[in-house]
Amino acid sequence: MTRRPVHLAVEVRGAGAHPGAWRAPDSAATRLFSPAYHLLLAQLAHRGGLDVLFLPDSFVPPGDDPGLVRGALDAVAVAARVAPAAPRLGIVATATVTHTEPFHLSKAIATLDFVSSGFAGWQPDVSRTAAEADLFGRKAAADAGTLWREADEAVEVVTALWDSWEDDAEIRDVATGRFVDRDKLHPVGFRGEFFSVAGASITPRPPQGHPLVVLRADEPEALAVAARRADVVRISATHVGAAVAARTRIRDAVAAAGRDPDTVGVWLDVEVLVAPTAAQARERLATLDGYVRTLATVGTAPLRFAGTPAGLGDLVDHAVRSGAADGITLVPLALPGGLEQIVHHAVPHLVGRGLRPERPHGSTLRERLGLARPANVFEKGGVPA
Amino acid sequence: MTARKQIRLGAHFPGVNNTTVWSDPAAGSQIAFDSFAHFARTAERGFFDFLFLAEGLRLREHRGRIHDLDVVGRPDTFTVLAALAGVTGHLGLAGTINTTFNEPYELARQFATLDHLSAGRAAWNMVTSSDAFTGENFRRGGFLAREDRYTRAREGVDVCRRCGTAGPTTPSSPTAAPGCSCATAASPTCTTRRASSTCTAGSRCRAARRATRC
Repeated sequence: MTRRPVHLAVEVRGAGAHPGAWRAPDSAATRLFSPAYHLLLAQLAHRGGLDVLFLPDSFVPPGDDPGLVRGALDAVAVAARVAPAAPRLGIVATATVTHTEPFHLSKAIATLDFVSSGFAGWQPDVSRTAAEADLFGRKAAADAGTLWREADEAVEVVTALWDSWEDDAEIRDVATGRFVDRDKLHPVGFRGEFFSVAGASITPRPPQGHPLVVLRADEPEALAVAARRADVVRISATHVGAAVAARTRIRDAVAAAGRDPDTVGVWLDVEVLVAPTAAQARERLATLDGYVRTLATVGTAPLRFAGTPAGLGDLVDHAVRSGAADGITLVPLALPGGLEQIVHHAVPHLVGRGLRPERPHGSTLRERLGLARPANVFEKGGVPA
Repeated sequence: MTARKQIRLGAHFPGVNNTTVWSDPAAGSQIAFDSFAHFARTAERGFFDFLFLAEGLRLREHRGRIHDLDVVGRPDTFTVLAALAGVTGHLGLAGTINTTFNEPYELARQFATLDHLSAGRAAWNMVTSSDAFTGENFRRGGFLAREDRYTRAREGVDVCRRCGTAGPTTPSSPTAAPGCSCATAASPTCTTRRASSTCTAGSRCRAARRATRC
């Protein structure tokens, strides 16, 4: 029996997920906001044949700790900047929905799908803190239940806006002088608890129909939204057993929402530091730890692996066999070196074990992941559910 | 001899509306990224100073129906400009962005990002709007009285400038506008509280310019 290859993503955070990563001599700490740095990371991910590059983002203002990297660029713009240089690499940018306009988000992600020729995705998230609310001054911070109810509406209206142009709305009919068939352009007419959006998008339906929608389901309040709306669900777990339980919970929720759980992949985060020998990996991690005065952990500590390519292969194999994940998101502790190790050593090892294809296929990100192009809710006079 | 004053040249991507002849068989796509990339590279090769993108946030209608005779369908301005930064080297990238239906903090961050990603080529054509028709696509609807739209625009631009320039050691300026103060803490904040916009901008975009080793 041939094994189903595991989907493989990488998430790049600043100088690396480790808070001390920027102090390492081979870090890119002085170039974190240069286009060259982001290009380097995207081109590495591209060379490694990874399915997805995740670009996280939030409006959380930097804290007072002078020992931490401060500042981050807008992730959708970074994604667009690197996409033309990394063809056929899935690029999924986080964009929050609490203080932003769904109309703007819809056309931004649609445009990312155009510039990446159908390899774009969106990870919606919420803004939880009063500090973020103060940056906008429009409303107060809200509880998780409220935030995710609003996020649910936001994802619904963003996808409705993607559908507001039928694929063949543009007719260029010289005989009648009509550029579009306006019967195939649909005002979304959305009225929800939190906002309303009247018109059709200004941007035509993107190449994938719907760019990939990725949601985290670590918070209980997010689970229902993920079950209804996500193409891929990301989880964080302290060990493989906990991931198995989380994946089961998610698949049950997806089924309860009336969808086929086999069409919604669950991808597990693994923080990684790969080195030629286990001793070198441990030594490198100890060095990174030594750069930081106190190692604070917020929320659930994710799975972390420091070791050899073969060891990482064992972990990936174990996670997939035990039903903990359909995909793995590697989160390098230190960049760019950590990603170089993954691409040059860990990925070839996974290919050698049959866990990854030699050459990833698919002419869009959805095709790569085995997902269908979504039907348009407005076609044949339909209205959004 | 004094050097002659030289003109600046911008290249307006024709895109939508009646400025574009679409019926010619050679007319290309108004939305494919290749069209934008080709246009930008051509402008750059011709030594234009900048490329210019217009914006309209609701499809035009005529007597309650979407106008179907002209080219329609355009990309998100920030996103396509960020992508164009990757296929050009020295062309200015000017985008039309509305101050009525965007909040100052996110605009500051988006323009700062575009400026970083293009190594200093971002430009903003600031426009306003107050019509309820466009507002129906946004959270606040047609919230702004026509006579207030440039007040809000001025405040928005002011906040963006402060987000981009206020550094950790910037003291409160004696010339600062009423109601505005710039704090000097390690995590400085720039606060404006006025009638039409309220924003406390502890700026990630500003910090972006100061990624230094401690």
